[in-house]
Parts: sequence; structure tokens; C-alpha cells
Amino acid sequence: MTWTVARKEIVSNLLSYKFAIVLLLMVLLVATSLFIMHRDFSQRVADYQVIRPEPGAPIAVVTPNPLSIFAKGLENAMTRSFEIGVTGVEVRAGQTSGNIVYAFFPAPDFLYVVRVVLSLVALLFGFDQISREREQGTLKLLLGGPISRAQVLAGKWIGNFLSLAVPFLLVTLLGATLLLFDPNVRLTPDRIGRLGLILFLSLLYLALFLSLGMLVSALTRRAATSVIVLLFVWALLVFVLPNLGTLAARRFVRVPSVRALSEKREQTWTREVLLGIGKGGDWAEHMRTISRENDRMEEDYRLKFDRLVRLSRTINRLSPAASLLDAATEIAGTGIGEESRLKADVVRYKNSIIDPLIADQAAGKRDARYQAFVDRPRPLAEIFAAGALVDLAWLAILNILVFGLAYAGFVRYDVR
Amino acid sequence: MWKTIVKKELLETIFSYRFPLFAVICLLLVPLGMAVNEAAYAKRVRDYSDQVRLADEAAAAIKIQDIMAGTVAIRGFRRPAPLSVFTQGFESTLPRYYEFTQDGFKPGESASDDESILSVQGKVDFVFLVQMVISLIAMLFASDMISGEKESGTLRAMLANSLPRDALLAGKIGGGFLALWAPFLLAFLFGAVVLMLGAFPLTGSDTAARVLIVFLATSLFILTYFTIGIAVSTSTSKARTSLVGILIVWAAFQLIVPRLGDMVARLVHPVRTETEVSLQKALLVRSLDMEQAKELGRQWDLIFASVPPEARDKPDSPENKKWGPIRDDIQLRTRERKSQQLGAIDETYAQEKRRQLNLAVNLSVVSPSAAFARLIADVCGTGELERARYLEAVRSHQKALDNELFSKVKRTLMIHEGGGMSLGFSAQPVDASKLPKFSITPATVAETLKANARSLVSLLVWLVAPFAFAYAKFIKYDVR
Repeated sequence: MTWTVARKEIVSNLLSYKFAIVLLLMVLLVATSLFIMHRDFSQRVADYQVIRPEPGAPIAVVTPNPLSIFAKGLENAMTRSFEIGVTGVEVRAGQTSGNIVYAFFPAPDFLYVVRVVLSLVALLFGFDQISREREQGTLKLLLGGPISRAQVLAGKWIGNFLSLAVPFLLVTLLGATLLLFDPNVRLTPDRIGRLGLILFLSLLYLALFLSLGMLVSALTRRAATSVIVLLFVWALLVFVLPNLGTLAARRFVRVPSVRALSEKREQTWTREVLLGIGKGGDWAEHMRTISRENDRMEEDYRLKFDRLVRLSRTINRLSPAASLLDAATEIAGTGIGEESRLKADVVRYKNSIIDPLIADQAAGKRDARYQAFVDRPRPLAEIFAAGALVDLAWLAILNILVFGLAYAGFVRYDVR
Repeated sequence: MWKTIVKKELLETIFSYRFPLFAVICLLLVPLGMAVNEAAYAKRVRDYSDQVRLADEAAAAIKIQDIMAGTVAIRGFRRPAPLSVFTQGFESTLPRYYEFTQDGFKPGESASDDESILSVQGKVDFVFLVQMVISLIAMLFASDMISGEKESGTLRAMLANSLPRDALLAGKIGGGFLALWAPFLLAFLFGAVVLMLGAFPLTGSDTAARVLIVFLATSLFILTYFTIGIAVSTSTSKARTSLVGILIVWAAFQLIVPRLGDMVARLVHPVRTETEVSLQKALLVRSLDMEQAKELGRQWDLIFASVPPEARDKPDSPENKKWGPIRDDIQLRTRERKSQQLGAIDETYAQEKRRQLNLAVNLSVVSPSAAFARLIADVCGTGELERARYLEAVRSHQKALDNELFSKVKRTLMIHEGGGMSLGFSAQPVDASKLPKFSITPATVAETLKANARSLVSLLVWLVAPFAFAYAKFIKYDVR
């Protein structure tokens, strides 16, 4: 019986012009997004070819990540070049894509389209499911048949979810397949698995918004009311909550400004250089002291900053949009966790070559070669353990919770 | 009669459930956006003054030996734009400073680099919220203004009175817009109070005028979207249909059109990346320097070949007198070639970029949202205009420093035939405390408006055209 209701929903969706228009919108958005982000990626690849370090140079540069086409995250910060010098790591601009319009409009990656627009589309599928049928009087007829309310709700949910998810998956997979024609986009089996996970998360997110639409529809008498309520909830979940977390976290955790840090660094530098001039002594030893003190300050800063980031992420998680963003960027390898992993790796790399580097510089050797930096993205298991699993579970729990509430609302619904 | 309709619409909206919801959204979002950006701005200003102090100290301590060693790098910082509390624009993507050396200038890090981690969730500035959320709500308010009344049958009753349709339409737009505008006004004032409590300089020289422009432009923007919503509403007969129509229009204007402009511009006028160009320039400089060093070495060898080594340093020997002019001539020629060829590269690149940018802007202002964002960014000093002025200031500062500082020291690198190298210096005294200060002349309000004529025209067109369309549709509307 549930399946009959689901089939009815699918067929009525297929017949409606709304579905056609929404489908068109979805195709347009996903295509535009993939196209733009792919060009953005190609530009990063071109830049990478230019700034790629010579073999043996003490420079760490990460190759552009093809999954950033789907979830850009912190890719720009991660693909900068990190030059190892005698006094520490110097960050250079690197693969900035020098984009014109993106400064005004956020990077239109696939994740953004899902988070902002497709969530709205999912609400559009759900907002009048119950109130419209009541307004038209068909709900009475439907419930007059031998069918329970739970079955009606489940059937409606399945039908609408399928009408939303199938075109979404088709469009995305088509886009991803087209991307494969570019030899630079190397989608290894691991990356394809990650892409699949991102799609799964996106579906979970869209399902949540569909249930939310049905919940509000079951609580209101008129479709027009539920639209405004849902819009309010949407703006709250997608725009307000994800930023409140950061604002609140800043109140609790004080992080020294990066500027204060560089000032301190300069002081160390001046002191050591003066010492070097005054007492003579071993140049390399002074360099080592500077490097050590810089490390200590950097670590102190990093610890505090990490605390700030963790707190703001925890608060942000209230919003499913923030959960989706966090989990998806981590899985794509462009997230906050991945970025701090990279920074730590660069520091480790620096520590492994700093002694020979200083010795070579002291000896005036200009063309010395060093071991190359190897970028080791975290495996999926580690990513899940570091928080993506919590996000995933949270999205699933929210789904069940909202659907349960929608059921409770529908059971009490007055169909007259 | 017109007034009666306005009053009726106003009251109807105010008494409906959606008015308080909208008011809450406005009162929450607008001050929140301002508060978030105010905190970020205050931090940027703190960093800025710290850094400027440090840089000034460093510049005052410059010695002639440093210039000889080629290690002098003077930094010129851009003062954060106070009005970035309304719109971020390029604020966090522009380099915080430029570094000036004798080989030219290069951009420093941008403000977003260290804290980009926290902005991964997206930004909530005032303009973004108005553009994304309030525009959608404005259209939603308008969506059932006509079709809703038709569905409930009251439109028929109304038009049975002696009420011309144009008066009805104008009254509906006026009343509906007022009901939207009042909470927005309140939220804006509330936001301004929040800013003032945070000791934000809201009453600076022309800040008040600029804030007023921001407010007026935003009001115009909301009216534009409201009228577009009315146009959609008159062309559909059911409220549900107009809802879908509105979503499409919204997504097209916010997400598709602004980016399609950029995309088309990139396809039509592709531009090399900045990294590529700076690499090309560095290679050119290196090869010209090598050429010069070789030429100097050759000439030196010719002149001094017969002079015994211990007599070469005598400044008034005939060889040295001959050598001086030849060296200066070679160096002058190289300098000229360098500035000419580097200038040519810069000019071509700037032209390429300008062409691409112009096309992208022209295409993107087709969307009222993009036009609005550009206009406000320029008014707030975080837009395209600021970027151009910044670069201009950097160029002229480099020239000034070249004259005042870098040209005081001449380095002479020579590569001799046998492959040996030698380095010589000549220097004039430098007063490091009298170096020119870096500053950007901000665009005046009039200049800003002039530069944004396209955006203003786009907003006006999007106000008038939907109104005309709605009017034409409504005249023919079948109210049965």
C-alpha cells in the first residue's frame, strides 16, 4: 500500500510542470557549478606546473585535489607553497587563481549548490504534501481507504524522495563522468569512493529537508503558511547558525593575533642577530635557536587556534548545513582537519631537513639537495574517527527525529 | 482610492503570520551580519596599526649597507576599509600589503589567509544577506499579492468598484513594499546602534553619506525584487505556480547569471595566471642582469687588461676615468631595456585582464543582485575601484622609492671572460626617515557613482521593466 502511494506521488510529480522546471534548474546549477569549478581547478593545475619545486629544493607544495571541484573547502589555503628556510617555514601565495567574481559570490562548488539551493528545492517538494491534499479534499478520500496514516506518510516521503534523488544522482554522475575526460582529474578508486560518500551525505541532507518540509506541512493548515515558516527555518539553518558558532566561540577562546606572533618572531630574530654580531659565535647555532623559538610560538598559537576551531565546529554542528560542509570537505580532503594535518606535516618535514639545511647554509653550499616533501592525505578511517562519523550520525539522527515528528504531527492532523 | 489600497495591503501584511517572522529574520540577520564584520574589522585595524608601526621602525633603521646587500624590502600597507562592515567585497582577498624592493613590488599575504579556516562556513555580511535571503522573502511576499486574491475571489469584488487597475497595482506595490521596508528600516537602525556601541566610527568625514547611499540602494534593491515578484505573480494564476517561478528567478539571478558572466568572459578572453606572469618577469630580469654583467666584465677586461692589479683601485687613473662613463652607459641602457620590456609585459597583462574584467562585469550586471553587490562594494571601498586604486598607488610608490632610495646605490656585478665574478658598489647618502609614506587616495562619492553607472542603470531597468510587464499583464488579467 505504501508503494502505491509512493508511485502515485512519483507519477504526479512527473506529470507536473513543477518537476520539469526543478529538474531544469538542477541540471543548470550542477552543470554550471561543475564547469566553473573545473576551470578553477585547471587553473590551479597550471599554476602548480609553474611553482612546482625543482627536485631537491626544500619546498613543500601539494598537488591540486580533483575532489575540490565538488567541495572546495580550504583548497586555496592548502595549495600554497611552503618554503623551508633556515629560520622556519615561509608561506608563499602559490596557486591563487586570481578570480574576479568569486570575491563577491561564494565559490559555487557542488557542495554549495546542495547546501543552499537544493535544500530549498527539497523543501519545495515537501512543503505542501499534507496541507495541499487537505485543501483539495483528497486527503479525506485517501484516508477513507484501508491505509494507515503511517503508510501514507511513508509512501509520500519515499515517492518524493525518489523524485528528488534520482534526477539529482543522474545529473551529478553525468557531470562527474564528463569530468573524467580531463586527464588532470585523476579519479582513483579511493577518490570515487569518497565522491560516493559525499553524494550519500548530500542525499541524507536533502532527505532531512524533505522531512522538514513535511513536518511543517503537517503542522500548518495552509500551504502558504508553511512556505514562510520553512523559509525562516531554512535561512536560520543554512545562514545564521553556521556563523553563530564561530562568533560565540571567539568570545570563549582568545587567540593571539597572527600579527603579535610575527612581532615576537622579529624580536627573537633581532636578539639572536645582535648576539651573533656582538659575541661572534656560531652562526648556525643562532639560526637553530631562532628556528626552535619560532616552533615553540607557532605551536602555542596552533594549540589555541585549534581549540577555537574545535569549539566553533561543535557549536556549528547544530546546523545540518554546517555538519554536511564539515563532513564533506573532510572526506574530500579539503577540510579543516586535513589542513591542520598538512601544516603539521610541513613542520615535521622542516624538522627533518633543518639541520642539514643550516649546516649547508653555514658552509655556503648553494646547490644542496634535500629529500622531497611527501603529502600523505589521511585515510578515510582516520577522517571518520576525527569527526566525520559524528557528523554523519548527527545527520542520520536528525533525519529520524524530524520524520518522527512529522509522523506525530500527521497522526494528530485534522483532515477536515 | 490609491491610499486606501496601500493602507489595506499594509494592514493585511502586518496582521498576517508572515510579518512577525520576516521582522524576526531581519532583526536577527542584519545586526548579526554587521556585528560579525565589525569584530573582524576591529581585528584587522589592530593588526594594521601594529604592522605599520613595525614597518615604520624597520624603514627608519635602514642603512646604506642594507641597500647594497639588496635586502631592503619596504612594506606599504592598505588601511582596512571601515565600511567593510557592510560588505566584505575584496577586503579579505586584496593583499594586506605590498613589498617594495629594488627589483619591483610584490603582493604580500591577503587578510583571509590566516583565518580562512573560520570563514569556511561562508560569510554573513549585510549585502550577502540582503542579496540571498531578503530578496527571496521580498519575492515571496509579492508572490500571492495578485494570484492569492484571485484564488480567494476578492480580486473580482474589488475590481467591481470604480477602481482602475493601474491604481490597484500601484497601491498593492506601495503597500506591500512599505510592509517589507519598515522592518528592514528598523533592522538597519538597530544594526547601526550595534555598530555605534562597538565604537565604530559611523560619523566620519563622508561615512554618513556613504551609509545613507548603502541604505537607499538596499531599499531600491528590495523594491526591485518585490516588483519582480509582482510581475511573476501577475503572469500566473495560482499561488503555487508563482512560487516555483520565483525560485527559478531567484536562483538564476543569485547563482547562475553572475557566474555565467565570469565564465563567458574567461572563455572569450582567457588570461594567464599571475604566477606565470611574475615568473616570466623574473626570468627576463635575470637574463638582462646576466647580459649586463657579462658586458661589463668584457669592457672591464678590455680596459684594465694591461693595468697591474694593485694599480686598478686608484680612482684617478686614466683607466678608471674611462671606465666610469662606459659602466654608467651600460647600466643606463640595461635599466631602460628592463623598464621598457617589463612595462610591456605588465601593460599587455593589464590589458588582457581589463578586457576580461570588463566583459565579466558587463555580463554580470544583467543580474540586479550582481549590480547591487558591485555598487555597494565600491561605495564601501572594498570593490573593483579600490582594487584599481590600490594598484595605482603601489605603482607610484615604487617609482617614488626608486627615486628616493633604491637609485642611491649602484651595484655593479661583472662576469669576466674566464668565468670569474666581481661585485662593486657606489652609494649616495640616504635619509631613511624622510622616505615617502604609502597611501591610497580613496575614490570620492561622486567618482564612485560615476564608475557604477552600469550597476545603477541595471537596478533601475530591473525596477521599471517588471513594473511595466506586471502592468501590461494585469490589464489583460482575467479575474474570473
